Amino acid sequence: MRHLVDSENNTHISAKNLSFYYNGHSVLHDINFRVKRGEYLGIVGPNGSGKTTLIKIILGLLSPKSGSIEVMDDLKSRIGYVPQYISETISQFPATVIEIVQTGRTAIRGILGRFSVDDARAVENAVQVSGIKHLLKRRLDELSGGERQKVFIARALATEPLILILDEPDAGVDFISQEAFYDFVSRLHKKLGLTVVLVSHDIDTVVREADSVMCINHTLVCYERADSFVKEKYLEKLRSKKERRVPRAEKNSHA
Amino acid sequence: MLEIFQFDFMIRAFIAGSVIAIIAPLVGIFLVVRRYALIADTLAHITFFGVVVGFMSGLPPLLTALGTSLAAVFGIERLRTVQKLPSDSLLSLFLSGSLAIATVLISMHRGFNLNLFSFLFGSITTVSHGDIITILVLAVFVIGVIIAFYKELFFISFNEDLAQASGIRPRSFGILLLVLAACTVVVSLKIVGALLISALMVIPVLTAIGYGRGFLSTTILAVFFSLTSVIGGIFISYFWGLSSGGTIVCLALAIFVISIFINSK
Repeated sequence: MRHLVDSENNTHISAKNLSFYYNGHSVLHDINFRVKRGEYLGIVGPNGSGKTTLIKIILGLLSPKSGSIEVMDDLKSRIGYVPQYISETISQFPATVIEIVQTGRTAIRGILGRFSVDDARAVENAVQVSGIKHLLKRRLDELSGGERQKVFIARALATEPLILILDEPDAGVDFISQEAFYDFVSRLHKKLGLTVVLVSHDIDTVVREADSVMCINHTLVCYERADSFVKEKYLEKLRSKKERRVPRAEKNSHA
Repeated sequence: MLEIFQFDFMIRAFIAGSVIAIIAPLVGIFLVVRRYALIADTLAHITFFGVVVGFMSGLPPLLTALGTSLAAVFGIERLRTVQKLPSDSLLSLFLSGSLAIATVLISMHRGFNLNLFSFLFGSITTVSHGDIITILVLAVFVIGVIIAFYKELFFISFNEDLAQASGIRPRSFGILLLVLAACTVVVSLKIVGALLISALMVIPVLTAIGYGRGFLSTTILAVFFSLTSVIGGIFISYFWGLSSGGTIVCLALAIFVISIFINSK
C-alpha cells in the first residue's frame, strides 16, 4: 500500500515491513526505513539487490506486495527523479537541452496546459542553479556524460522538487566529472535544503556524500549514519547474508 | 510542366499527397525515437486486409481499413500488456497474419485484383472527391491531437519511466500514438500504397535527425523532406508514367543517401 504522510510531520518517506516479489522470487523483504526532511540518504547494495525496485516503489511505479510505503503529502509532483542509465538511452534522440529541461513542467502544466510564467521561472531557476545556461541550445546527444547528468538534474529541479532521487547517476560518467557532479549535488542539498536519495553500488561515494547509509541485499543489511559506517562490517554482513537464503514468496505471484 | 494541373485528378493527388507528406513524419518521428517504426509496416499490412474486406462487403475501403487497423492497435496492445507477449513477435504475427488472410480472400474473389493493386503501391489517378474528404478529416484529427498532446508525446518518447514517475500515463499516450499511426496509414493508402507508407513515415525522419538542432526543428525538417519527396515524386511519376508510391519513396531514399553523404564530409 502507498499512503500519503502529512507534510507537518518531519518525515518525507517511510517504509514499514515493505516486501516485493516477482514471479515468486523475493526482491525486497521486510524493509523498514524513514527519510527525514532535508536528509541525504545513500542506498547501497550489490547489482540486482533490489535498489532500483525500492526506488520504483517510492515513486509509485511499482506497488509493494506487503507492508507499506508512505510519502509526504503532495509528493508525486514534487519528486525530482534521475533514472538509471538515462544517459545511455538517449543516443540519436534529437532534442535540445532546453526541450529536455522543460519536460520537468509537463505533468505540472497538465493536459492542454500552456507554458505559463511560473513554468518559465521554474525552468530559468533550474538552469541557473545547474549552471547549464551555455548548453541550452545544444543537442543532448552532443554533450559529455557529466554535462548530460547536469541537464537531467536541471530537468528534475524544474519540477521544484522537495526530494531528489538519483538512481546510479554516475553510470557512464568519467571520474573527474563524477567528483564535480557529487559536489554539485551536495551544494544543491545544502543550498536548497533538498532531501536527497542517492542509489549507488559504490560504497565509498555514498559514505562520503550522504548523511546516512542504507545497505540492502533483498533485505535490510544495515542502516546507520554515514560517519559511523564501517565498510568492512558491511561487507562482512553482506557475506553472512549471502549464506542465508532469501525467503521465497508465495507461488503463483506476479509483479 | 504546369499542364499537369489542368487535370482534376492531379489536383486531388497533390492535395492528398501534401496532406500525407505533412502527417506521415509528424507521427513517424515519435515512432522512430521510440524504436517502434515497424508498427507502421504492420499497420499498413492490416489496412490492406481492411481494404479487401471493404471490396468484399461493398463498404468504403478506407473506412474498413481504418476499422481493422484500429481494432489491430487495441489487439496488439492488449496481447502485449495482458498476455505479456513480446512486441516484435506480435508485430510479426499481425503483419503476416493479416496479409495471409487478405491473400486467401483475394483468391476467393478474383474480380477486384486490379483495384487492389493500386492500394498496394499507390495510384494517383484513383483519388476521388470522397477520398479527399476522408483524408482531410483524418489529417485534421491527427494534426490536432499531435498539437494538443505534443508535450506528453515528447515526454513518453524521451523516457517512459520518467514520464510515469511524473504522473503522465505512458500506456494511454502510447495507444493514442498507435491510433494516429493507423489513421496516417489509412490516409496514405491511395497515394503511397500499403507496402510503402512506412517508408514515408520513417525515411524523412531519419534524414532530418542528422540535421535538426532539436526535436521541433527535426520535425519541421522531416516534414520539409517529406513534402519534397511527395510533390517531386508525383511530378516524376506523372511525366515518366511510373508508380507514384514507388517514385515517392525512391526520391525520399535518394534525399536520405545524399544527406548521409553530406553529413559524413
